[in-house]
Amino acid sequence: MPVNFNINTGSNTPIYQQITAQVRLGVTTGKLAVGDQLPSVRALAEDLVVNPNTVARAYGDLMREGLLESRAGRGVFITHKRKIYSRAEGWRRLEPLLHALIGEAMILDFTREELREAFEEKLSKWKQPKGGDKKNE
Amino acid sequence: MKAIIQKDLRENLKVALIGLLIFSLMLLQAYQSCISALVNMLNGSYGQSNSLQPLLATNLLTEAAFFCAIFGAGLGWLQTRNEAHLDLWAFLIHRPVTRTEIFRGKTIAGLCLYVLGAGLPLLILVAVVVTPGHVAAPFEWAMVVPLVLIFLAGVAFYFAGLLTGLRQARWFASRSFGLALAIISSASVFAADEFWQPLVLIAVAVLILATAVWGAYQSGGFYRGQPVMGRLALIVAMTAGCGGVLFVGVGLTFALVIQPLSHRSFEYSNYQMTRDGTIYKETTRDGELAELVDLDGHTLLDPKTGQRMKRKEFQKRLSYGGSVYTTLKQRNLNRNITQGSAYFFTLWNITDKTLWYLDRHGKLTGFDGRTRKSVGSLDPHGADGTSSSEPFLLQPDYNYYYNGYNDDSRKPIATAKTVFQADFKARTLKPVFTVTNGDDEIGGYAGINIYADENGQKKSVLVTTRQTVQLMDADNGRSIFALPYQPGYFEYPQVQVSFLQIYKRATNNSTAASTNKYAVWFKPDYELNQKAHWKMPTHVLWLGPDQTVAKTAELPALRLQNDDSWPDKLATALLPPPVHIEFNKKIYGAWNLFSFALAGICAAIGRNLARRYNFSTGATIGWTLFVFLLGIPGLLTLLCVQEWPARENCPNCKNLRAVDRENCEHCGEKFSPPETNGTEIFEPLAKT
Amino acid sequence: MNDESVIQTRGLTKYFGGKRAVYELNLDVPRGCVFAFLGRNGSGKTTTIRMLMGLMPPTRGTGKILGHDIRVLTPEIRARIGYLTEEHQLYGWMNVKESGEFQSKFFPRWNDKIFRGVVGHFGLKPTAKVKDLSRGERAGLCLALTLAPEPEMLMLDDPGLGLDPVARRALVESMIFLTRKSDRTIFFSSHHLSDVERVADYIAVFDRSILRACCPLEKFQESVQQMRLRFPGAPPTLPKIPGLLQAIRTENELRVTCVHYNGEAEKILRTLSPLEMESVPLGLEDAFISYLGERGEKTFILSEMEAQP
Repeated sequence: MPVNFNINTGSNTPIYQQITAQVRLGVTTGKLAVGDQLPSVRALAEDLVVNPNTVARAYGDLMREGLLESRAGRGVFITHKRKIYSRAEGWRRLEPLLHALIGEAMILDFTREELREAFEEKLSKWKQPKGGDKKNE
Repeated sequence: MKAIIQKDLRENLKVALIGLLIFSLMLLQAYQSCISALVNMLNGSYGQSNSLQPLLATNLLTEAAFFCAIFGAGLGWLQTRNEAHLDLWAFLIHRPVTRTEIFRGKTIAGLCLYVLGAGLPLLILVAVVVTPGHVAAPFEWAMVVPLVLIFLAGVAFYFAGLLTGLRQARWFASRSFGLALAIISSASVFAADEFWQPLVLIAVAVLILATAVWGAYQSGGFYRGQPVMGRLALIVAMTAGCGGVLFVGVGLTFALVIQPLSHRSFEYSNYQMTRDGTIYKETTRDGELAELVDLDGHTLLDPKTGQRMKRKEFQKRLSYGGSVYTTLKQRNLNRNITQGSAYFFTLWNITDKTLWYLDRHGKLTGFDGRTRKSVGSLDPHGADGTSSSEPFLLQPDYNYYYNGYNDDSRKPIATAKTVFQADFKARTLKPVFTVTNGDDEIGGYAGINIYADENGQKKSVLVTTRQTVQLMDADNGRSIFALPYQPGYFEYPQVQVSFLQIYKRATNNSTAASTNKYAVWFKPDYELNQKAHWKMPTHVLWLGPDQTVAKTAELPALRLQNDDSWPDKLATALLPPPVHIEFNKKIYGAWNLFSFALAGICAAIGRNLARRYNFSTGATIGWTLFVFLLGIPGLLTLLCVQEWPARENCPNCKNLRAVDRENCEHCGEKFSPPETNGTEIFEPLAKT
Repeated sequence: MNDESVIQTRGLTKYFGGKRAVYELNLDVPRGCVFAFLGRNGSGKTTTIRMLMGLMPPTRGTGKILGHDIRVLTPEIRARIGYLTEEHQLYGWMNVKESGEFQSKFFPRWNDKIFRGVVGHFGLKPTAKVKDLSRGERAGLCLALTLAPEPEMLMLDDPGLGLDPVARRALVESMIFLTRKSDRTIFFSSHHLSDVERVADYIAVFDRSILRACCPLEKFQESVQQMRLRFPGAPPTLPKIPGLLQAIRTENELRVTCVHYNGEAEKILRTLSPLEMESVPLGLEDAFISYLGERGEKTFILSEMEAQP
């Protein structure tokens, strides 16, 4: 399995949200490509030592988002069918990450200029994973 | 169920083996003490003749009773201790078997262990006794009965022990009340007349206690969840317990506190005859000589002091004699089977280290004291000189006692028709007296030594038949005197002869003289006299030199003078009404009213409780009646047995209501749902 | 009141003398779920379980387990329920193998593979005597004995009590293994909220003899929220808020934890005019502690102690 799932109990985030977040992160970083198979609900549940219903809920949410599809008899696979988020929805998802990034940079005493430069550099090198290209930094 | 049996057997085997060891040692020690008693008796010192047959020895039976009780109860209690922890109990109860099966499994295992620990040593004891060469006393299989009863009583204790461990009761002590029933059944073994009585009592106790234990398994030790049979059994067992505690408590209080405060006087009188033939009435009060008067009422004065003669001086002047109690009234000796060996045999004589026994079948058998083997029997012979199987007569209250003075090897023994003089050294029987009248029978006989003349002792035999009273010379068979048995033997079963002679004990080689003057007393039967309101007098006959009646007298009956002191009455008044009526044999009377009043108060309390906790109508009536009939023990039982729920204020009608009812008994309101505080999180759970 | 409830109680109540242990419990546990029973020590969880297993008679109320009245559980029903008691008590003189044999004689549907599997998973030797086992090993043995008859329903009373983390993980893995059969229900009580979070579908929270919450796990976590209000100076007194659990006051902050935070509560908080008001996400354990901790306003205990000379 390309992604090692790692869940924490006692965190502020419910377990199923941790799973969905990790799947999404895997997709955006390129570790999970379209067509990769994820473990079955039962297999993942036993591997992570969590209730299968929790995994099922995570997978369900991902399927509703359009990130995951279930092929009968074969398993669960990543797809590229993306559900279109409304702009507002998209910003709502992005805003906390921006806040966290800027806040952390300020704490580490980076200047705004340095931050902007790093941001531009990253963005220029970023390639959108389309058509199954695996990307590594 | 088999798994439970095996588990419990394995779990408690240690206890049974320890019990086996202890009991074996106890029995060994008791057996040894019986042997030492035998040796003591052979050497001439005093020994308990009870101990000659270990199976009947009082100390062995008592020890066995204690052991079976403690071992039985301990085994039962320890069996429950194995699941004392609530979670282990849960583990056991959660077996997919019925509670009855669990009960059966545990009790089968427990009883097997009991038989091992208590039964095996007893079997070994019996085997030893039965084997010749170990016990110098007669044996018959019926002698095993006391030990069997004691062993069975231990089963009642086993169930009582189980009940003690199982019962969930608030008052910790009340858990052990089941033991009272077991103690009663065990005590009855020692107190009852017939052997079947304790057997029935033990069976009933075992049945009740086992049912109570079964009920306890059904409900986990609580009263409420039990089936009816279990509850009834528990009530009976607890009543016995409460009654027992009350009995002991009251008894102790009375004995230690109240009794010394009351001044009871205990007085009794009897007639005595001095050697000159004069009769005196001697009255004893509280152990001291209170009065000593002759038949005209004059006090006997000591000629030396001028005061009333003291007892010791008086006793020097008393005439000597012997008495006989006829057995014609009741041939069977109603002896308690466990009160020593008297039921089975009487030790008759010890001569030359040989013990002679008269057993209950009328056979005279001998046992060598050293080898402890039988040496055969002395059989009476019929007219043609051959041995007959006619049984010897049994003598009630015969106690073998070797006082060291007399030559004991010759004494009389009688069948129904003939009195023989037995010589135990020569092992012969010589007929001394035979009934002449064809259908007459010998009723009683006694050998009396007469300190006669320079020739030493003379042996005589006092014999009573249905129709005559005779004094025979035992050596030559001559009749010294003969009287008709008037009044009859039925009303006057006791005949006493007083020898009116001057004699000194032949200790300082001084001689004694005989006057051949006798007085004969006919004493009435105590119970018949009681029924006749003490109207039956004692008849006394003085015989002249030619042995005909010279003078007679009738002495008014004497009876024990006993104040029924008020502590006694108070103690009996605490008994529940039915018992009290039976005891006093009358319904009215001040003390009876007291008893009724006490019971009435208890019943009122009981009914009050029943109403307050909302018993069903049937239960209220039942309990009220129960408490009334049984008085204080009944009330105590009600308090012990029932589980009393807490009471809270009803939100609606503000009265106190029991918490175990759905609806308030006053206003019908249900209990309020739990109070909310705004922080509840409820969401219906979906079916998966 | 549907037929699919494996456990169903109405007004179940237990008094010990005058003391309330369980009060008017209404519970419906659906078939096939993993149901966690939470509450502080002494809040009535074990008493409830004992009543449900027919070991202790209720003072009033009714209960049904697998459709049968809890007061008269028949042997057939008991054979379908696996019950693990709190203290993991077994007969000390038996060894592991004998315990298994003893148990197997009662259950016709004994699966020895499962027994040996769980025993092996916990590393138990067949000849080890129960009284020599550690707490965790005993728990493993109890679990093996409970699982081997393949019961339809598991009743576990604080199965993780006293277990080390390794043993607890093995326990949780066994519970998840059981969910393979969808008609199996697991009902357990626990204090280890991390395990509960992993494994439970629904939770019920008991507070001093009263059931205060019964809902899916996420709902509980979502329902308890904490708001942090910052003030320029000392925080003002807090007015009454519906669903308030706790309010902690520090130098210039007020942390308010409450249930079902909604518009009304927000309005009230805004009237205090804080500089900042943000919601603090709570994990399950923190939510639980707030829910069952002392209610009302309090200052942090140590700062109080420091304030005194």
